Amino acid sequence: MRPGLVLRVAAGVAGVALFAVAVRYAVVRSVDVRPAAWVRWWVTAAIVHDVVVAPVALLVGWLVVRFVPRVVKAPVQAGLILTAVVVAVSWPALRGYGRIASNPTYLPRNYATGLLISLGLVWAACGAWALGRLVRGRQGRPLAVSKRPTATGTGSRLP
Amino acid sequence: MASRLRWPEPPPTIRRWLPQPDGPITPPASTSRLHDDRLAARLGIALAVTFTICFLTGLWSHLQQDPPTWLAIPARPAGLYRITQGLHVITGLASVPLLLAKLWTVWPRFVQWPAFGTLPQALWRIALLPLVGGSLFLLATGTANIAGWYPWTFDFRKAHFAASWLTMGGLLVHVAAVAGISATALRRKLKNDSADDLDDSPDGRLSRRGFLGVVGAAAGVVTVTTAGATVGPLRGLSVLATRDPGVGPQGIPVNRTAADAGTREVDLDAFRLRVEGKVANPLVLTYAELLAMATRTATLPITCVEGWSASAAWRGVPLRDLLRRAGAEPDAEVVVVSLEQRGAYRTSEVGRDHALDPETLLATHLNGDTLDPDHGFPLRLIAPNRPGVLQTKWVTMIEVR
Repeated sequence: MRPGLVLRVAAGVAGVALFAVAVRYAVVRSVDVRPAAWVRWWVTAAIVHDVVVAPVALLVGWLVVRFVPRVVKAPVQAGLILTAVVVAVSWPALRGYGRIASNPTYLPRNYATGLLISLGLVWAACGAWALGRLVRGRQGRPLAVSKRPTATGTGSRLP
Repeated sequence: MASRLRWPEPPPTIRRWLPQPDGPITPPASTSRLHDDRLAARLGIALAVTFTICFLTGLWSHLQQDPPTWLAIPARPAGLYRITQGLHVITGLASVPLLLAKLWTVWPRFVQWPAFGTLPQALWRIALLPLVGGSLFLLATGTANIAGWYPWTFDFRKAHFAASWLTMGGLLVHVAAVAGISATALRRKLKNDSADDLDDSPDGRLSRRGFLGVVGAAAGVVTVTTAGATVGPLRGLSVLATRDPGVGPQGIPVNRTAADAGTREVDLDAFRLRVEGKVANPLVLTYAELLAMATRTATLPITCVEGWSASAAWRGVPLRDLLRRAGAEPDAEVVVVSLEQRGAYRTSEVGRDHALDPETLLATHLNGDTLDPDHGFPLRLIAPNRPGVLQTKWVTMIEVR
């Protein structure tokens, strides 16, 4: 067998062994892990991604590609990606789900303000980028500086 | 694989919208240049690195809380757990944009038809649910946990632990299945796709390189806005951190308050610290006696499993002095018991290395002042390199077994 194939088979076997550890732990510690709820959670997570998150991203992506002017397209895409990530990560804090009246050391900050500041900086950076592209576009230069010469045409799937 | 499975043929109208396993990743349904094997491979490598860091640091944390008999947890370096657990949470949060980007790049493959044709494709398909579901589970539950939010019925630590094995198993099977396609994609010459790969994109959309840059920037923004919970210099910038290491009674955060533990009012006249069990000379000490013995000061971090940490000067009685006075065997098993009546962390086991460490204290003072009730007044355990949940508060007994 080729060394690459040996490694791949080894990785596959090791992966199955790790599955076994997960299942064994979930069963042995079923009082804590609650296997039914545990499985439901990660299966639901995958389904929610495929049925909700991915289609919404497709739709938003399509809207941007279709309606946002060429010059600011990339900065808008970047701003939306950054916004989605920052909102997703800060969502529990923003909504204050974990806030306990008796313990003010949980979620001690004003997360709405924090989010506004973060997104303000993100969109300011994207705005500056868009402005740069706008100026370059007016001067008839490419929208961005490429470090390597680009071959055009062959194999490109541009519309 | 030579032999191929026969799959039913979908109607031509649907057929033309579905990508094929052996064809380019881009289906007719999507013109995104970001649905690309090479990009997927690069993001996959980044995720393999961050997930491995999370897995190892998580395993380390788990072993401290459920120590197996074969592993002696060292007491030194004192800040080790602070680093490993800080890294665990920081790396996990930074993985959120990486995972979402990765899912976007490969999404058409999820709906490819036939679902699989060769053995590697079948393996890839089987590993997908535990890998994707497990990854999303880990990042979602972790993000909720650091915000103190528990919208589930399972025990967070143990379910998170089980999911980490599931995910890493999925990752290994996935790597076995896609190693070939990834290696080919990574070796691919740029010339055929340069307009898509490089940052000069004639149609104005993000190039692949631009997309990687944005994903990296997203990881950076997430890190800067949250890592201040454990990285001191970032405190002022971490406007989205769920904890602030400077906010709390005596300037230190708290996980379980005295009110929650039912230890708000401790009658000092009645309070005693007992050292009992397998000892030659059981001790019963009053608070005044403990204060007289509390001469050792140690600067140690308190590190929560939720990733925040803060350093403080603790003053107290070295545990090893008490054990010596009581005549405990040096290799005895030591359990610290709290005044709390309930709670998963009412007691904690102190390993041998920690029990012998001169800076493992039963502290009475924090930064020069008497402990706040929320920090465990009248007496708490504080030891180097130890998860915060095991730094038992409101200590009333040391049981030697």
